[in-house]
Amino acid sequence: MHQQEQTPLAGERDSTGAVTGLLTRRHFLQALGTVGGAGMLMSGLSAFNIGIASAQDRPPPLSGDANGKSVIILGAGLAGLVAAYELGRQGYDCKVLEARRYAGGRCQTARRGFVLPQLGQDDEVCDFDDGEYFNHGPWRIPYHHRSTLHYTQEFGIPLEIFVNHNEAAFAYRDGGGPLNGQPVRQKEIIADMRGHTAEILAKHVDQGALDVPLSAEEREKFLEFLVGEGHLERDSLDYLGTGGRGYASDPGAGLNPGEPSSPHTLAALLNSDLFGIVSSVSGYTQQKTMFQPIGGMDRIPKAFEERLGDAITFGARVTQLQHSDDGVVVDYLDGDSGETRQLAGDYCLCTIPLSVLRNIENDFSDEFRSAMDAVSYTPTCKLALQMKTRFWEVEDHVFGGHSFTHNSEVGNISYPSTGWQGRKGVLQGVYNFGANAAQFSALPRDQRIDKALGVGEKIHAGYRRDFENAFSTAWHLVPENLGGWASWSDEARQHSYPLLNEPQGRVLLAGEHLSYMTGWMSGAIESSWLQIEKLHAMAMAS
Amino acid sequence: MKQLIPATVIAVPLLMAAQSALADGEPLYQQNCSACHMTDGSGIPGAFPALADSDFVAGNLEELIRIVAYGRAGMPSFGDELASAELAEILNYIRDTFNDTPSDLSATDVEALKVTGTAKMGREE
Repeated sequence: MHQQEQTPLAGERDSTGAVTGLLTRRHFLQALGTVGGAGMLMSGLSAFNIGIASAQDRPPPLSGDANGKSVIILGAGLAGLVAAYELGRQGYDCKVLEARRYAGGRCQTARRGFVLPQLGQDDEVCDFDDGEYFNHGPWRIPYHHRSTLHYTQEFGIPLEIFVNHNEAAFAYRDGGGPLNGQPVRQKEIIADMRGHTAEILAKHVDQGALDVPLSAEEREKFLEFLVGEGHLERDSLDYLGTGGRGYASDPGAGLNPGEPSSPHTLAALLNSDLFGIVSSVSGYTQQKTMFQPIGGMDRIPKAFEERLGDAITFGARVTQLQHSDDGVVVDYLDGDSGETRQLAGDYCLCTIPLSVLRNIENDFSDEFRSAMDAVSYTPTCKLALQMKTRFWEVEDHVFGGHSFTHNSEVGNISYPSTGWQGRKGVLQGVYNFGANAAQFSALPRDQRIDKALGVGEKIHAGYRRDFENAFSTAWHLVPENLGGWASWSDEARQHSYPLLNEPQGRVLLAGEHLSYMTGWMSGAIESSWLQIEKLHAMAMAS
Repeated sequence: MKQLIPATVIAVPLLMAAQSALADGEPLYQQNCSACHMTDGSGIPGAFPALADSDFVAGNLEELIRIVAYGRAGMPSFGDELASAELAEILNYIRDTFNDTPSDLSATDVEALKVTGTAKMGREE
């Protein structure tokens, strides 16, 4: 979600909520082989798409004619939309049941008039000015999420850069350190921490005090690296600051060479606990380049919707799912008539989040149901603030990126990567997770807004002054989701997750919850690709 | 992750808990649980189970600790984010106030069951 605030240990969460430390294929497969023997290993291999080279780049090639076999797809989120689109092209008769009145699942965009019902709360109504919008669900596409980019390319959805890194944005922390209680530009912290570190290291290398065997030539090259890395003086190896950390007075025309800035001392940075924002490289999902669709993330589901025509029934709440050797029967409450209706099909792809699916009557095996119950879901809140000026751009010269607040109640502040130099703008003033999100959503709405403004005004003078209205989302309270994304413990991944990737008779599950990219659109898309390939294989074999 | 928390960090909430016993159960419940399970523990049918008059809440203590600490069936895991003493107080509160089944769970009881990793709250890389 955001840049890393600090570099955590493998398996921990960084400041963005992303889990660090990659679970390698090798580790995963070794674990599977140990637990379940060869059979488990084989299904694990298929789950990991080994031997299916295309699975992350483009949909699986499905050969053979479906002959109009019918597939009921539950949920018109990305997983359901992808399945309906790809299977439909292959000659399957696809019917999609969607509880909401629009497609996209969590992939939503709030604009003026958008209403988001949340359990135990008044409906959240978006009151932004026309033209302003906010992606309260997924908001970023990493450059290596090739499956998401496959569809934006195929549908010609124009993208723009999402600024995920901005060194001109701020870091702020309350506390007793010399740099606490004031916004500090991230570039100052990054330049000074690396400069001081390089200086110490370079001087040790230079004096031969480093207990690392280096040849004379290697030593020279290493020194050269440290001088460049830390912007050190070439002869003294001192770190005296660098233009990159900003100027006390900017260089200008004529006789104005500018006035250099002075670095913060290492002690000041350490005692202010601001060094955590510095890390050599950001997490895999956080790196440049990132994208967003121009005009809102819901451009993606809308593009599918246009191509699916009347295959989607909206306002259809699934109440029961039954399967047999011959087919699948789904009961749903029709939103228009209020009547219960029944739909029968040859196969079913169910993309309903497990948090919701477990409350729907079904005839899955006890083992399968128990596996469904092994997952937990992450509570997460986002709160958007419409501001009547773009003070962050005009007054503070921050264009996109995130300011790190070191306040886990509220999370970081994110600036819009669109509408540059426009009149107004929508900030993301809150993005929190877990217990912080559970707590935040228990507050009355005005207190939620006040908390967000209270953090932001410490960084920007205009923050409270220019606030106009807010849009508040708690995904754990959205009835069609009951959580931001699936959260798997290692234990549940090992013992329950593999089974949920297997068919229950003629039913297959799909969604971000059945991926190792939980909470990402690519997780939903690639899970769908994997499961429709299995569904197609079943259909061809019968 | 829990194993990495130095003992000194855990010791503070433990001491605090010993002094305050049940006193903090209600505010902790309202703060952490009420958004889903409602302020009176009535829950929301079809989404969040009622904690009041609940056989589950009044039942096996180990099961109860596990679900709060690790998460399960859509319920988030709180074991990494709340102190064991806080979890114990919340559980004592919902058993006593909502189910008339007092219990005397302590941080030690919760710690004893925290042996496996909790669900990861973050999105995966």
